[in-house]
Amino acid sequence: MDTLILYLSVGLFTVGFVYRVSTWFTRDAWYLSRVGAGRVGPWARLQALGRGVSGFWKGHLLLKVIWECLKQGVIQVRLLEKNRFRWSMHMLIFIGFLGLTLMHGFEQIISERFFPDYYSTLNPYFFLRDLFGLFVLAGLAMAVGRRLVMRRKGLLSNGMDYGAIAVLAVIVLSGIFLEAAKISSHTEFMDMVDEYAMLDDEEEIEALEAYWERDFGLAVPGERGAEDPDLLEMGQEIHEESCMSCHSNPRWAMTGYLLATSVGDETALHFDRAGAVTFFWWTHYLSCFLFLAWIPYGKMFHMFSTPLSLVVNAVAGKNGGAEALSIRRSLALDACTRCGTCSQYCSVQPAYTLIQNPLILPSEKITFFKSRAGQKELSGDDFARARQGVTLCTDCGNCSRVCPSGIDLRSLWQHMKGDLLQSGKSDAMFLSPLSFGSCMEEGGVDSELLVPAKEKLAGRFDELSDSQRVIHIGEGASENEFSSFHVEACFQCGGCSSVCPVADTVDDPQESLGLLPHQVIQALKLGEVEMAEGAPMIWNCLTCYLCQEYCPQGVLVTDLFYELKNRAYRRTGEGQRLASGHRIGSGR
Amino acid sequence: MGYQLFSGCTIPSRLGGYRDSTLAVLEAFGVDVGSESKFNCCGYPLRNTDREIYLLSSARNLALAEKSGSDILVMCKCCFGSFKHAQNALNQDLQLRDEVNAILSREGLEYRGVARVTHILSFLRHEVGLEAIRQRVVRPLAGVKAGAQYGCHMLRPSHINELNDAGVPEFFDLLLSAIGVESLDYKRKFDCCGAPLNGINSVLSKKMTLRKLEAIREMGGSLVATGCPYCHLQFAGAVEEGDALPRPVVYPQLLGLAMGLSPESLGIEAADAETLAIALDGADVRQSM
Repeated sequence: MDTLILYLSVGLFTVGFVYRVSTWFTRDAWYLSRVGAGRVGPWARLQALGRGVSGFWKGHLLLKVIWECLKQGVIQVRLLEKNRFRWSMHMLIFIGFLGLTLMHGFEQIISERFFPDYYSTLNPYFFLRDLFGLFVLAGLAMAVGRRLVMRRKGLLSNGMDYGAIAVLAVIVLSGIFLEAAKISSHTEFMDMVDEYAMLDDEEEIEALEAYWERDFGLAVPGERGAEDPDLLEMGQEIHEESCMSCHSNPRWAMTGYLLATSVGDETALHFDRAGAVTFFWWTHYLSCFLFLAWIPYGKMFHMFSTPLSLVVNAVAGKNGGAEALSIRRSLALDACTRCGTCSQYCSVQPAYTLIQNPLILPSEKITFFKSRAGQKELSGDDFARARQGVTLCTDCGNCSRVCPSGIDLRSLWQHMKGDLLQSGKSDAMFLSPLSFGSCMEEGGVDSELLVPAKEKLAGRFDELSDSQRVIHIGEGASENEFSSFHVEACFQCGGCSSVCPVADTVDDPQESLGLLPHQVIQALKLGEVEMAEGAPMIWNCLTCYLCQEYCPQGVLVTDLFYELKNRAYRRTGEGQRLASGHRIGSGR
Repeated sequence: MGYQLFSGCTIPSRLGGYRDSTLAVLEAFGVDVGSESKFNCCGYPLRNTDREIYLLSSARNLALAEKSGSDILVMCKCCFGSFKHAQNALNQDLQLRDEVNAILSREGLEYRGVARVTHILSFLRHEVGLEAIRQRVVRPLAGVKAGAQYGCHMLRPSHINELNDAGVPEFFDLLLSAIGVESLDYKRKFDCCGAPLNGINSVLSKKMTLRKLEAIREMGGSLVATGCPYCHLQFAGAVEEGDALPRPVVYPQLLGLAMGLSPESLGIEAADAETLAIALDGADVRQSM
């Protein structure tokens, strides 16, 4: 039965592992649109891998790989540099769990082979097992504490984050309970006596029992009365003769011993009779294999992908061309441990505070895109949410700089933005300096690609500018709507339009701007708000504030243009709230 | 009250040399700007479409500075203008301030309106002072002709931005002449660099940029001195190899060179050093690079 479970979990692990690795060669890291140019197929990526690996034998590359493995995988330098608390937390779990896995989990394969004196109940191994367990528990406590405390500061946690902590906790705690149950178990004691001590004499067994009861936390059924020094001395002799060479004092297994002795003899005996040893053994055994089988399917896969990603980045840098970049981007999705550091340093966190679309935050974006990898194109709410998340990014690169896994998040977002732009599906929010980062990339931004977004906001100008249309003065003019901008004070001197550098630069102002600044103001005075909002002028405004500065009447022209843009954005459905209460940039 | 440097979004990701040189120069003048709080974006890129997010972004940074008891020293003129506008809005409209503070209080922050916002050029001009700068100059950049890019969001609206330069602004010209550079009077000196329209209308944007650069070239300028990542990158993106247009240089790098600081400490990369040497032409800093 237990062997079957072992094979089953190893099987599940292998299948999952192979699948995860295969995605590095098949998957693309962006899924907003299918336009994405420069897609690289699996074969080309495998060839690139081959070229990279064959390069190992040249020069000192192999040495460098080994050095980086040590630096990034074992010492975890990058995490140490970024955050000492998290490094300590991770190191406790890493050392504790690795120690337990190698020494205790693989005792037949590793410990017994390399340490001829190894015996799980002998020091230092006996003590080390508990020490490692304590390490893991301390690390897990720090992890839970961090997630609870930092929640207030924008650290989002999902089921996977707490799930991973829970599985590790169950493994270690069931191990400690198993140990405690064994320490106090009379049944275990008798089995050991039968197997190792080979005592036939009832009195000798009783002596050993008494000695173990006093010193080793054994719970013995029945009343014994006062301590008998002779019996104890005899017990000690038997212990030294038969047990000591293979069993250290259980006090060295401090967690189990503490637990065993703290519950009291009565409870311990009760547990022993109820089969606590078997129960905890199965809990421990099953949780370990459940964990093993789950590794490639959840965030704990980062134990392979993150060091690999760090080493690849450290050794290869940006070299290797499009094929290598495709592999690395896919690998990067897997290298995320959902530690949430990027989101805490995200420059547009206030946008998340107001809009509550989690996909604005990098950690949530990467989780989302990972879950959609290789699936069909996004649509509906999912698309709108993802598009807003990708667009609302100032390209500051904080996420990349702070990422302890060294993921080049910034280039992922840039790539996704480019993909959106190329497909003509950009969010209208891109009609702002948010697009500046993309302009600085190779090739810049072709504004023609933004025409669909522009039309959604300002496309109503054509019908409104019909020269035959009669404008009824006074009708619909709302007195107060723009009074805070001092619109009423305008006496149409045209000063704003004469200093406007845009009006001065374009070849045909009527064609490309629709209305000049003073005409926008006049339209508002006449109550033609839609006409003003639809004028291409406001979307071609440099916001240089010359008009406002030189207005003799103190009309806040530039501020007003900002307001009109905001209103157009809101009015066309952009920035409205979804039924879920989330505001989203979708024009549907 | 001390200052905290506010790097913003664009400088750390695209113009690290501006930050390096600013820190190096400030250090040389004995100004300690400490370490930066966990600031977020100033909100400028969202002003076009979402004023709420913009105001909350600015207010959060100001509240962070207030919490640490410091003022904000910005390097970007768009950050500067956005902070100033937000301060003005939050100081005028107390209902708005309450709404913003209700959100900020969730993380123990409050905007009270005590932190001041200063731009590095204004700081150098008024708080370090021209005389102190002149005294530190060991290699005047004599013979170099440059156009100063004042930047719209630094200057206007003047009643909010409070530069106290009555009439025609001259602080940048004074800063340049203090290090020996001849600051040119050129057409459209106080106009926009074109950056805010890059992307939205890239053709128009580039036209405005080239027009400014050509005006500087007409006056014989070999470089354009900047104090804003948007202006700087906009100019850098418009010039092409081989054309005779002036090259953008951030002012703290020029100042640092004149003060005899090493190009490395000023974040001048090897590739830029060559361009810079050509632009600086006759100045004797060339030998030091």
